[in-house]
Amino acid sequence: MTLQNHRFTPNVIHVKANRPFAIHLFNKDASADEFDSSALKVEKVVSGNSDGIVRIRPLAPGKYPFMGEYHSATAQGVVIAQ
Amino acid sequence: MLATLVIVFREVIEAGLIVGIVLAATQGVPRRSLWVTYGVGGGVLGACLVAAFAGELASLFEGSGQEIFNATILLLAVCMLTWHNVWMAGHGREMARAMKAVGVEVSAGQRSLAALAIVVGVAVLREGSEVVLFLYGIASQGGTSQSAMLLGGALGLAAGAGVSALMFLGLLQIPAGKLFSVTAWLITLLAAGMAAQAVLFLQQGGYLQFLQSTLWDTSWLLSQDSIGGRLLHTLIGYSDAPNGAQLIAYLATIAIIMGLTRWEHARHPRGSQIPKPA
Repeated sequence: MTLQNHRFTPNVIHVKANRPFAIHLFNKDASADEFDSSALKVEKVVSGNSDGIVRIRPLAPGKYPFMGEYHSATAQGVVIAQ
Repeated sequence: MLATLVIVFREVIEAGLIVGIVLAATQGVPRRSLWVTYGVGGGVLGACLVAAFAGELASLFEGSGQEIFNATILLLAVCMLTWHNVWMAGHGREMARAMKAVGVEVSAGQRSLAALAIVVGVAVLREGSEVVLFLYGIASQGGTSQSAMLLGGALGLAAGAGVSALMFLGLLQIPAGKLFSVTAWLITLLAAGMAAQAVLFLQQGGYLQFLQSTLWDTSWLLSQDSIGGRLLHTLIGYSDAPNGAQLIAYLATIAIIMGLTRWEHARHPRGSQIPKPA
């Protein structure tokens, strides 16, 4: 997944329910942002022009919104587990 | 400006509550403000350093350096809080007596204060580095004027400090005799919550990959994102969707602190006048 101009691409991620997975986030903006989701229970700072791995626990089926906390006006997305 | 205000307010409350509890727990101990000031100062300094090296930090340990770092400083705080509580169980009485004699130096009390200064330091370090990164992000993006950011930051700081001060003053309303046992409990729960949070960071970093399924979900009742949820999260480690490993860490921390407190208490029978969490 890429973060550019403070937007996630893709901003909808489909995963299998009840299995752990990881999101490899490439931040192509100059500034740092924090991948933050209270639904997914993760917080991870990724510096500007850098990348980071966000590990996520097994999820029950459902929708889990996430955001880039430092630019939450535009940096929004959702994980759909099914 | 509003975004700056909200973020600064939130992080200041989280660190401020911990400072408030430490101040209440050390009520009357000489030179405690000095130690707390060291803690806050060290934390602010550390926060700037962490923010400056965030990129390097993140790439350590196969990309989980940030999680390891967060878990480590949380566990450090847990150890210091445990030590303080256990130490108080053994020395509470002599300290209470010395406190009554104005101007008496409790040299032994300084050791426990140093531990609490570290707790204050790591709390400020954690929340502070988030603020620094956030402000840097906003500043580098442009659009927001510097004065608006400064104003937002200052208002957030003032509001956060205000709420923390209210909490501290509230604690002081508790009669001195009971204050010790209340703060001992608060510190026990604070430590347990931090231990659970550390487990979460370790899981995020790819360690402790067991019992990861969510046990229950109370976000419909009290979301961890709401101000109330955040306060409870900082104070007693409230989580709206904890997993098994977190719950074990939480309960184990409480059991260990209570066990050690009793043991220390038994070794110093004369300390029995001071209430303990048990």
